[in-house]
Amino acid sequence: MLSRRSLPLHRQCGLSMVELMVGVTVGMVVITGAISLYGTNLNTSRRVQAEMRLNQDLRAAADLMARDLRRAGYWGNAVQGTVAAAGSANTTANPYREMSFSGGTLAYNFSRDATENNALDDAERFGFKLDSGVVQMMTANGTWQGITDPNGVTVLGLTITPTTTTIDLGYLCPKTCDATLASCPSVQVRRYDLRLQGRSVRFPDMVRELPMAVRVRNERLEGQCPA
Amino acid sequence: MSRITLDSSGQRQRGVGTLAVSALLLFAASLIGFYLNRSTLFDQKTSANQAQASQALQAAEAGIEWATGMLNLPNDISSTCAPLSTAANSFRKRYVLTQWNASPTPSTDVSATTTTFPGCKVTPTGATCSCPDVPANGLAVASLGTNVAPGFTVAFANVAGDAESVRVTSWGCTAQAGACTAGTVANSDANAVVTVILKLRPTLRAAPASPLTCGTSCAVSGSYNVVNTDVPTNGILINAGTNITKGNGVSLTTLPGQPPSNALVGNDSSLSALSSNDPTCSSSKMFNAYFGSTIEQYKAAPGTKVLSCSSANDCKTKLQTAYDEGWRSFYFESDVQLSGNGTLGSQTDPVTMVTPNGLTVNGTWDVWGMVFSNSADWNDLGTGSANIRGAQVTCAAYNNNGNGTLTYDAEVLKNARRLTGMMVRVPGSWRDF
Repeated sequence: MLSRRSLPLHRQCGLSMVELMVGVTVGMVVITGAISLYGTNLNTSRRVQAEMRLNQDLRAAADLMARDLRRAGYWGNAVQGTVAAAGSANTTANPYREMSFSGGTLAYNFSRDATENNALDDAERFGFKLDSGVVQMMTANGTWQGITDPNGVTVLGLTITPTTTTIDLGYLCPKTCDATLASCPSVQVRRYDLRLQGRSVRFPDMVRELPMAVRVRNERLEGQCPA
Repeated sequence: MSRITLDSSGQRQRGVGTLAVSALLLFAASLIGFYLNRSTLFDQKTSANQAQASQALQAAEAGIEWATGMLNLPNDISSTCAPLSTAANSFRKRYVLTQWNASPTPSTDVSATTTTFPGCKVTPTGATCSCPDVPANGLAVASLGTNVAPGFTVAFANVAGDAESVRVTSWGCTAQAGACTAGTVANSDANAVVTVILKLRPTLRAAPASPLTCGTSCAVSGSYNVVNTDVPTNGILINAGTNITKGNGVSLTTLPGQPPSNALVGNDSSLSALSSNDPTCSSSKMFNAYFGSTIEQYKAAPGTKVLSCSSANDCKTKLQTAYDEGWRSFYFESDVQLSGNGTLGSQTDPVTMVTPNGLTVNGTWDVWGMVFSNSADWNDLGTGSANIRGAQVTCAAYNNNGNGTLTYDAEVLKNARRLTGMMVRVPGSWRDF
C-alpha cells in the first residue's frame, strides 16, 4: 500500500508561479461572483420574507375582521323577533342589532351566550379600530387587543365604508304604514368595505393594500307597524 | 480486473476527493437555495389554507341557499332532487312538513326530520344532488358517489317555541370522496358549519271568516249554494262591504238552528273601509288584508305559477299540467275560464288561485282552497256545478248566477296557509360558530 501511494508523489513537482497566479485569480473571480450572488440572494430573500410577513399579517388581520364582522347581529333567540311579544302587538327587538362606525371605530355585537339571556353583555361587544399603526380589536366592552404586530408591520390605514340598503316593509303591515314615517318597519342590509394598508417596518418602501367587502349576514329589523 | 487495468496503464484514477468536496458544496448550495425559497413554500401553504377555508365556508353557505331554494320549490322531487312531473312529494313535505297530510291536522306546522341529510357535490360541470327518503329508522345520508369534489349536506330541526320555524344546519367541505356530514367533515382539508332559522311566511296572513267575502256588494242568484257549518266563524255565509242581494233560488246552509238571514253580514265597516280606500283595486288593499303582501309580490313569489291562457280548454290544460307538477299557488294574467271537469287540490293539499279579473267555470270543477279575484267588477262564476271548498274573496263587487256550491272549510284554509307559504330567513339567526 505505502509503496503504491508514494509513487504519484514522486511525480508531483509543485506549481509554477504563473500557474498559482492564474489559479488564484480565477478562484477570486469565481468567489467574488459567488459572494455577490449570495449577497443578492440573501437580500432578495429578506425582502421576500418581509413581503410575506407583511402580506400574511395583513391577510390574517383582514380575515379575522371579515369573519367576525359577518357574525354581527347574531341572536340566539332570533325567532322571538318574529312573534308578537306577550301583551303587545309588536315583536321583541334584537338586542344585538346595533352597529356603528364613528371616529374611526367600528362597533358591533353578537350573542356569545351559551344560554341566550336576551341582553347585550359587556363580553358581547366587539369592534375594530386603528391605533398608532396597529389594528386593534375590541374583544369585550373597553378591552382592546392588537391583531397586527407593530414590530413587523405598520398599518398605515384602515378605511371602512359602510353601505346600508334599507328595504321598506311598511306595506306588509295590516294597516299599511306610510313610507314617509320614520318608524315604519324596514330591513337594513349592511355591507362594509374595508381597506387595510400596511408598510413593512424593515423595508419602509414596501407598502401593501388589502381590500375586502363584508356583507353582514344578519339583517337589522327596525320600526313597527302603526296601531 | 480493475487493478490489472490500473497497473497496466500505469496511471491512477484521481479526483475522488474533489468529487466528494464538490458534492458537499453542491449540497450546501442547494440547502441555502431551499432555505432562501422556504418563504415561497410558506406563501403557498398560507394561500392554500386561506383558499380552502373560504371554499369550505362558501360550500356551507351554498348549502343554506340550496336548502332555502329547495324548500320554496313547489315541485315534487326525485331522489336526485330534480323536479318531477309525476306525483311524489316536495322537498318541503319530505323533510320539514313531514306531518303535512296527517290526520287530524297537526297543531304544529313544522315537524322536521332529524334523521335525513340531503346534500350536493359541486363539480365544474354542475351540482350532483341527493334527496334521500326519510328512513323508518336509522339515518339516511345523501348518496353522492365517490367523486372527489367540494360539497355540503344539510340537516333540519324544529325550533323550540315556534311551530312555523325550522333550523337548517349546513356542513360545507373542500374536496373529499365522501359526503360532507357532521361525522366526515374531518376527512377534508377544511370545513365550515353554518346554521340559520327559516320561518314559514304564510301566503294567507288571515283566513277569511266566511265562504264568500266581497269588498263592496255581493249578489248571488240562480241556484247557488253557500254553506258554512264551521262553529268558530259562527256560520257566517256572506260578508260584504255594502249590501247583499240574494235570489230566490239560492240555498243557504249555516249552523243548525240559526236562520240563514242572520248569517248574511252586509255593510261590514272594516270591509267597506278597505274597499272604499281602493275603489279600483289598484293598490291591493283587500288582497293585502288577506294575503299580507301585494299582488305583484304574490305573482313574483317563487312558489307561484303564473298562467296566461287564451281559452277555456287552454286554461284547463295549463292548470292541470302545473298542478300535476306540484304547483299549488296560481296567478292568472287574464280572465280565467275553465271547461270540462277537474279537481284542484284536496283538503290536506289545497290551492290558492288569484286572478286580477274574473273566473268563469263551465263544467264540474272541485276546487279546494282559496280563490281571490282582484277585479273591481267580478261578474260571474259560470253555469257549471263548480264546487269551491275553502273560501272566495273578491276585491269589490260580486255577481253570481251559477249553480255551484261554495263551502267554507277551515281545515282547507289552515292547510293553504301552511303549505303554500314561503320559507324565509329569520334575521339574526345566521351563525358559523
